Amino acid sequence: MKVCLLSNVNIAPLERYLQSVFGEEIESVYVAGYDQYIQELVDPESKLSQEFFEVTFLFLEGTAFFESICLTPIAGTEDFIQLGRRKSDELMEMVKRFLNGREGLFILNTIAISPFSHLGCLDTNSPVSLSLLQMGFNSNLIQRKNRDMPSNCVLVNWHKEVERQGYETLHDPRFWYLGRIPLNETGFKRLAGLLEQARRAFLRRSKKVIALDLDNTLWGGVLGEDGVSGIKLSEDGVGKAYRDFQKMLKDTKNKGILLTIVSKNNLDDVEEVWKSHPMMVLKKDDFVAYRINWVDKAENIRDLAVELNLGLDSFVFIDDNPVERERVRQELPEVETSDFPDDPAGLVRWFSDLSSMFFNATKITAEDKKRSDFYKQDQERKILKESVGSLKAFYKSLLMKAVISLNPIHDYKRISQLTQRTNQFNLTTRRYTEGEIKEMIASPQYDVFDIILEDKFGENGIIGVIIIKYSGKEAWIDTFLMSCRVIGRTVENTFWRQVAEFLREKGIEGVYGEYLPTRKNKLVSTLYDNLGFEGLRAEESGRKIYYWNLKAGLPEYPSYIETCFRNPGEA
Amino acid sequence: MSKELQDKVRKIMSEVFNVPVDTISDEIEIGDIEPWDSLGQLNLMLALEGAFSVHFTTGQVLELNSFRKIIGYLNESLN
Repeated sequence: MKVCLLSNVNIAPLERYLQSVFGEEIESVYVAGYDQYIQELVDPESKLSQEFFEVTFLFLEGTAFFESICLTPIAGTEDFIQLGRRKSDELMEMVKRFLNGREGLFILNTIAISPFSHLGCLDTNSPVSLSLLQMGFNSNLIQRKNRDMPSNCVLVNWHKEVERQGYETLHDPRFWYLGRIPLNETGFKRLAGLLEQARRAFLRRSKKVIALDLDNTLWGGVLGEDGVSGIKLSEDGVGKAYRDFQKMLKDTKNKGILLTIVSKNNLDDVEEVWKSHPMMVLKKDDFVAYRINWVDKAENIRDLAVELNLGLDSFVFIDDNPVERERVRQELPEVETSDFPDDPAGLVRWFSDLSSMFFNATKITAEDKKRSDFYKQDQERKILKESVGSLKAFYKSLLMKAVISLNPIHDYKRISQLTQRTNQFNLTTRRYTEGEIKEMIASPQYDVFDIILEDKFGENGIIGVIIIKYSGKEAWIDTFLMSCRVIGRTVENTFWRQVAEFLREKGIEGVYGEYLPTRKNKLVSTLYDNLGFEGLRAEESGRKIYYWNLKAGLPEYPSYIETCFRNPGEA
Repeated sequence: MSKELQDKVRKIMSEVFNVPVDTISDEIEIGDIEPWDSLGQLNLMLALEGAFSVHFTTGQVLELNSFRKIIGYLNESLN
């Protein structure tokens, strides 16, 4: 990863802190000259304009940015809030013009103006207000980011970080005067941490599931001993701390993280809490699965991973009991087992930090909002599967309908997201940015297909992607992936059949498929064999090459999935 | 002068300046190696403050510009 650092002050020391946060991932860091950020952004000959950087960070130090005003605000003439807005508009315009189709993550920050000023009460009682200046700048920055900035431009909340840690904890006037370095050791560390979080959020490298304990975690006390009316969960006192925690969890669910329970309790007692406790924020429906029993928790979590078709490293385990935590840490090191506050009063603060670490995102998609429902529908399907005799009869009873779309330009965000997030059913694990997907959709060299699946339980959204790369009369399957939610329903057969049919009509004679092994995609190591491809060769690295001769015939497909093919060219 | 302290400082300097540890001789001072310029000096002071939980005055940030001076100061203030 190549990184570029721009600033209106000297942030050269940040390089060292980035190395410690990102480690080996960093290939090189280019620190632009002091206060050279405008030249770098505007000059087409600049290093920033000429080279590609995976991450560019423009750090604006508020006090220096408004230096002409900060020490002599009383002499100011312009309306401060307007001035703030105007300056952030200018900045965003410049960044927008620079980004214009460019790839790579571009990070900006909300500014923190030094709280040390001689204004006193004037700051809040007169228009001569540095606070207004800061608010005007920052609020407009956030509005602009949401309104008209490309999605690879991400804003980090430096101002909030400064509020949280304290201005003096992060800034240092000595280094400022000696070398225009605004921050101290702690300041640079926090800044590097924010950047790492922003990148992870941007790439959607978040955890997917929370496995929650109940007693002394979602409420105070022990249900089995204190009874439904005895547990602490209320609108006042310490019970409110648990209720507040539940509210945050509910919101976390709404942004696409799945909630599960792993608790040693009697299921009947817990059902009673769901049914009759008025203060319970998280209802039974909010959990996609639970293991409420007396079985070892590590075993229960392993079981949930299988049920949800997710890797253990997608899990965060939350339990107040250090013994349970230790057990899970030892048994399932892939699961993120977090510490837990000793005092429930600290729950909200603790969870907000945990959230920034593991559940950070830069946007919420429609898929995210519905994810929990999707998984719940899956369970209903499973119940049906157990009640219906043969597999074929079960599939038939699902009344599946698939819509396959060619070059669906409006889906580029979700397609990119799927390439970034799908690990198990992914033949080549090639990660693509939104820009790259858009380019492939537009390019005659490529065709991009996605598939939407609907059944009697509801819509599953976009659950698969195939990307074809052409090379004369032949083609390569560059990407073939499916969401793990639909694994085992033979949808991939239908998907491949439709794509193969399209390719044959286009005059393509043969298609190559390849399997590139990773730590996680063993599931599909024999997919092409199963689909009926001819194996050409297996390399030492584990890479396998396959071929489908379209002149010889088309693949079989299941009759019980109704299909529809959308081709924008024929619309 | 404790060997332990010297080794720790040497290690920090080699990290800040991105040079091998054996480059940091007892006699080394600002200007002897390319990365140890005036900005390098500030970087070094930032790192030392973090590592030893000490606080230099603005004057010291400029004055402590050789290995000997740094060790001398840390010896005194840490004891």
